Amino acid sequence: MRYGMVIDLQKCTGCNSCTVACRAEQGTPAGVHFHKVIKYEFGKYPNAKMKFLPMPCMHCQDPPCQKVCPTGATFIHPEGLVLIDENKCIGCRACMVACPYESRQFLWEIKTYFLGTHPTPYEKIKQRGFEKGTVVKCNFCLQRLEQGRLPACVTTCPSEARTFGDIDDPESEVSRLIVRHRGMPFRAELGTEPSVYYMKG
Amino acid sequence: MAKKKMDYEAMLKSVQSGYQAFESSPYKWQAVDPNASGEKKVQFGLCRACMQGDCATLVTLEDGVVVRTEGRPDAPPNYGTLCPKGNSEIMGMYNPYRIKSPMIRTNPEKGLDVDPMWKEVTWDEALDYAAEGLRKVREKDPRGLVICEGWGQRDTILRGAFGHAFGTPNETGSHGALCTVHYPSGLVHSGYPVAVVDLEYCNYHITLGRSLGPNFGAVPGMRKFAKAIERGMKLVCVDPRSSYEAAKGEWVPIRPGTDLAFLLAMNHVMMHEIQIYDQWFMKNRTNGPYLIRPDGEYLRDSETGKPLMWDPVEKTAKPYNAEFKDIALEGTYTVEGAECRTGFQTVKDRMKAYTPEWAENITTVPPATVRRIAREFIDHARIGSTIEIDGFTFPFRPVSLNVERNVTNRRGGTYADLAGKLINLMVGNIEVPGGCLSCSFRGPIMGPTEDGTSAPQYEAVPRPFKFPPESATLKEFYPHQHTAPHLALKSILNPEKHHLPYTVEAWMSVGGNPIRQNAQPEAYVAGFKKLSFSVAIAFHMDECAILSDVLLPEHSALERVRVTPFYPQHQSMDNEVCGLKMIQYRDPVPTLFNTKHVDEIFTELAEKLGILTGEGGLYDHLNREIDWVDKTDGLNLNGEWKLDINRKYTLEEIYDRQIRGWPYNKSNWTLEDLRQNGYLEYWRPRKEFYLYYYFPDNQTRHPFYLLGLKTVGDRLKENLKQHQIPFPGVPHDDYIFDLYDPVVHWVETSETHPPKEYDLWAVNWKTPYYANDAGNLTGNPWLAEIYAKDPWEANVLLNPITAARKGLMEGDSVVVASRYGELEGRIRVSELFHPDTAGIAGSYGPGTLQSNPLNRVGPCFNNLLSIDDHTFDGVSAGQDTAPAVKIYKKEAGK
Amino acid sequence: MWTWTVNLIALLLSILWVVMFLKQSQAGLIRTALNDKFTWGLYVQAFFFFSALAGGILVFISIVTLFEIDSLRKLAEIGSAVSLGCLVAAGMSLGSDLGKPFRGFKIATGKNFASPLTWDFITLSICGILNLLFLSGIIPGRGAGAMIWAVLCLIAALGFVMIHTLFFLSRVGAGFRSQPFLGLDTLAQSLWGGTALIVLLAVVLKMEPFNMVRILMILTIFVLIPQAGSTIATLTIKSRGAEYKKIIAMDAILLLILILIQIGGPKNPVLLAIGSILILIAVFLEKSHLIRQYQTKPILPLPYSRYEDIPPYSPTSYEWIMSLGSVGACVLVTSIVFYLKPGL
Repeated sequence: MRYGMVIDLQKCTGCNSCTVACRAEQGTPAGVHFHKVIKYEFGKYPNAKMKFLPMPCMHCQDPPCQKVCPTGATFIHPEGLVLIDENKCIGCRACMVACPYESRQFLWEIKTYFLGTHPTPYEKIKQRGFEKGTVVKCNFCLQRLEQGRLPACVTTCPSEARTFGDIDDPESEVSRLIVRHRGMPFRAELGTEPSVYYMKG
Repeated sequence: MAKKKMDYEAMLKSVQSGYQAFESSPYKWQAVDPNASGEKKVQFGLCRACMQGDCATLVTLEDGVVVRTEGRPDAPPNYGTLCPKGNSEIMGMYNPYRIKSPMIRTNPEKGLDVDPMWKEVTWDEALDYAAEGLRKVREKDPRGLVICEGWGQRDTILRGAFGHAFGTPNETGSHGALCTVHYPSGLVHSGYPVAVVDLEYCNYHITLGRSLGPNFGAVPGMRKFAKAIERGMKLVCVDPRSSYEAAKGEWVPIRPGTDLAFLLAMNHVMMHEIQIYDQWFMKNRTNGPYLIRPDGEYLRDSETGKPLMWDPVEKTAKPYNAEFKDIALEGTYTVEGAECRTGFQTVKDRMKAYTPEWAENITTVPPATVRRIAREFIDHARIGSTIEIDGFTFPFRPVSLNVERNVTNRRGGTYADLAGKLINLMVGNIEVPGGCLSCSFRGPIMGPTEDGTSAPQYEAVPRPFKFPPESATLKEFYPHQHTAPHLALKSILNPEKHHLPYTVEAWMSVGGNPIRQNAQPEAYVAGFKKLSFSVAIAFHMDECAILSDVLLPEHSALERVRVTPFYPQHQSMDNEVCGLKMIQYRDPVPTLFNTKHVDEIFTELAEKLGILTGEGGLYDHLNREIDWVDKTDGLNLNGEWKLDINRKYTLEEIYDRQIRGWPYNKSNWTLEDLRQNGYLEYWRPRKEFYLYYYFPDNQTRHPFYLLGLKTVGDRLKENLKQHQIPFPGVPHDDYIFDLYDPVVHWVETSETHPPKEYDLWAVNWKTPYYANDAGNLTGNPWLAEIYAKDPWEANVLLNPITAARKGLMEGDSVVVASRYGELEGRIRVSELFHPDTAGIAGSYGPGTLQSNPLNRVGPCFNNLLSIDDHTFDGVSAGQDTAPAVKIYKKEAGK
Repeated sequence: MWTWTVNLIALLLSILWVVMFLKQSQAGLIRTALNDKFTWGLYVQAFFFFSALAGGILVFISIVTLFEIDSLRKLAEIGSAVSLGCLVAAGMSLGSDLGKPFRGFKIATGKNFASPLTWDFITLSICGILNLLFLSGIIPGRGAGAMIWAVLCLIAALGFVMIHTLFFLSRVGAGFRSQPFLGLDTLAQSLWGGTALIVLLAVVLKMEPFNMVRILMILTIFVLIPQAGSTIATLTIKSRGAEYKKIIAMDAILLLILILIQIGGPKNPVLLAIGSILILIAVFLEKSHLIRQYQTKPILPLPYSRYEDIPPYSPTSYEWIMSLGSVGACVLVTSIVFYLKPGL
């Protein structure tokens, strides 16, 4: 059983619902996003188009971040997720230097959303788990997976571009899509074996 | 020393250095209610972050604090998905810049940067003060009140009735003057607000100046769009910008503001070069074959008075409803000595001049492209094919061409939309599966008038003329206008020019902010200063609020209870919601500040003014009100459920009566049932969704020859002559009447030939982070963090060739100036723009002294627009959204 | 008198370090100029610098012991003291870079032997222990014990120097931007810097390390070789060329200076001191280049990183003060060792 995701780049229209849903679900502090959408242009006028690359954490199976973590705070969950034990993280940021996908962020400080003001009630509740001085990243919404739900970024996508499931199971929808549409991870040549695949891009 | 900064912070830096600081300390949030501690619950919500406003959500509360808004799984129309705006609604509620209690101004001086020196008062005091101010206006002349609504407050059911009970005809909206897209759909197929594409079946779609869904993140549209693209639909986006949607199809770059020329050229190619039409449709379902006299009127039968058509087999003219062996679509025929052309021929003759080569000079679109697209459009139309839905056979035309505000908003914009309708009519795709569908009431609305043509509906029904005029927005002179806050403004500034027999004394803001969302903010500020009284049902300290005399703070979207019917979708359509009739419910979260629900405010105000109960009161008008869009299908007070106009009702009681009287309430539902389920649905057969169903075959005819325009134009001309007045605000009357021609033709806009140094045109678009300012999206920090990093936001975007030509580089600070105003911004070079374009997204600035700092940053596109009449479209009063501009570097200061 | 002034300054700097460290722990690393794109800055540079020096010195000491070069024995003992000081300074620098410094001991309990930081910790700890053993006098001047100790020193010091090149800074583990000459470069810098530090200290203590100039010259050439090799290997990669050329130029000029010193005044202590200081600065700048070269360019390739704008890194006052503080601590620890071991 290994959780993975495939993202249909033809359906993705770069709206960033996934990024904001992730923020809403996880309550990450200001400036911290577990998910990002890279937007760029392709081609020259008059054949130029917008292109988008949504990037959660890739949850690599051979993760450079886990290799360099000195305290073992970064570990691989039995179901394939790469997670951080916040109590062990000493904030050395070696994992951030190692990650080729810029998936991790360091909590330099916990700022409020409305800069220069006090934290809103939302922040007071949602940000209890965040400690200044540690590294944080996407966890495939493990708290939702445990309830039998899908990650926030997958559920919220209006174009239904994201499919999530067990990529070890050849019959699962995500495996079928990857095979049928020749899904490939981003920067696969680096050999980190990501669990996030892209198709039609 | 370099400091770590987010882009969002960098944006704010410019504010803090540029503006004087407003002396106040940050708001201290109250502690969480101890009774709610440990509580976790989920309730039904309804998003309100865009025009559609119908995405079903789930709102999670922990310890009494809203911690999540997300799509509600399995609930239409969004089925669990939600856009970034909906996901960030929480920040609209926990917004320290909200107005938290009623306040009255004590500083008589007004300005965007002037401290009103608010005095916090109780609700009673504030309502009394507001009622007093309004009473004075009412006693003088009730027409002196302008109620300006907007997308910021679309959860009210009492506003319209309040205005009527007060006695003012002047309800207008801040949103409409830059989005006058309603008339052509109302004229040609009785539709409102717009016409959209049937994405369930469409195989070829041409879209201009609008969004199918992805361009501004409208969830139901995005869902349908993704499926259609996956299915293989071809999309052609004719747009100065290679947009989100263009990324999934073909981009045809076009010079801003020139779509009319493009569409006329397409008409020319279809009529003079390809010459393949849906003959059956044109002959039986349009007035194309009607014979037109040389003076432009229908040739009528002397006995019955019905318009005549020519039978080429019997070689005679007969009334359109007679038996015909065949119908002549084209040609000139002599009848009773008069040389008459068919309607189609009249249009075709006019289109002869509009060759693609002619258009290229105006639009820069290569002629070959125009020809190819027209050809492909016709090829994909599958003229003659049919499809069976629920046992009914429809014509099947899987193509559509749709335009919206960035095409219609300039002089001649109505013609552009109509030119698009002609293209659709020629392939017969109006109101049939796969084609162009209006978003209006689904029922027998498209029925024929006594001339056999489909009845104009909604805004295609002209307002009656009166002189002296009643309406501050000149409905008498612009009888097909959408909303016109800019005209109301000019009535304030120059009432004599508008021949008004009264002065506009008061302004009531209900979720509408034309100061920021219209044009020429300084003019609006001047207008507000002239008023004797202004009241705002205010959410945050925006431009209208800071200029008002009293603030009646309202709930944020999450805190408002709402019961609403489900309207047809505005961006695109497919089977996911085709045929769905629904009532949706928003369960309000506990109120955070000392605010009230807008309808509670209206009720109290009406009561204090003595216009709540009794004849002619608010409830009386509410009883008589019919939903503007969905007519009898909406939530109206029907039959036994009408209100007793002599007693006071709570909002819930009114909702309950609306639900019980709903025509689709087949199960005796009540408000309680709605609360339990969050929504109540009823599915009509899909065949009843396509308006063709109600008047199939030749039972109604869409106007191809647009006599409706001529009729209204002629009548207006007559009225002006009768009262011996020129049309207000324009150089000469023909400037307007040139736009009431029954045959669409080329007209120039006010920006077509600007002075030489204005060599670019500025364009604006909505973004997935910003559809309108509901809940102050621009000031929402979650969205701000993302749009600050977005490459195509908050900057002035130029094509690299243009930038090189002007010696501008990425990152340069520039001034963009139209002939009406200017803005400052930073250059970003992008291949996604036509070389003649200066692209500025969204809606930033100007902000006020006391507003969210985020509202003070960014390039303010609306500064470039104009409220001068010569820039309008004469039919819709829509303002030009692509002004001619010049760009220069900030230090140079040319 | 002069020693007391130096020690006083060192003490003050160390105390200042403690104060700033506590302030930084409370406010967070936001007080530095670091950000998510430029995550390692002056602190990590200082860590590399000091640990490189410590490692280099230890190699020197170990060679002196292995080859039983008695004339340099005294120098070796001084070196050991300063090596210990450098290790303490390195530890302080790393500690000030951690987000949660008071959890720092978790490196020891983490037991992730794939991580270069764990190996850093292990090898540097071993270096420290070996230094202490040497300073305590347990290690004899010759014989089996000395040999074993010397070999252990070599392993520890070389091991530490190599760890980053093998595991980490070149991100070989992630399979990209590998730098074939980096190992040699790091080793050379380490030896060069360590030896220069010993020479400097010897001059200050009025010893006469005259033959050291030749060794410094050889080490300078040793440093230039991998740099030249790296430049040739990346001649076609435009993005890497400019910085490296500056470094090569700087080191080549240093070589010239050393040759001039050798020719002109090999016994002149002032010139020696100047030469050593210049070498230390060169090593410090090389470490700065090492840190910057991987972080000033976006991690994601074009076109994804087209709009990324990495502002130049300019350390804040916190970072400078803490780095100076660790220099002060290094001097202080060295002085304490000298004080405790009167033989020096």
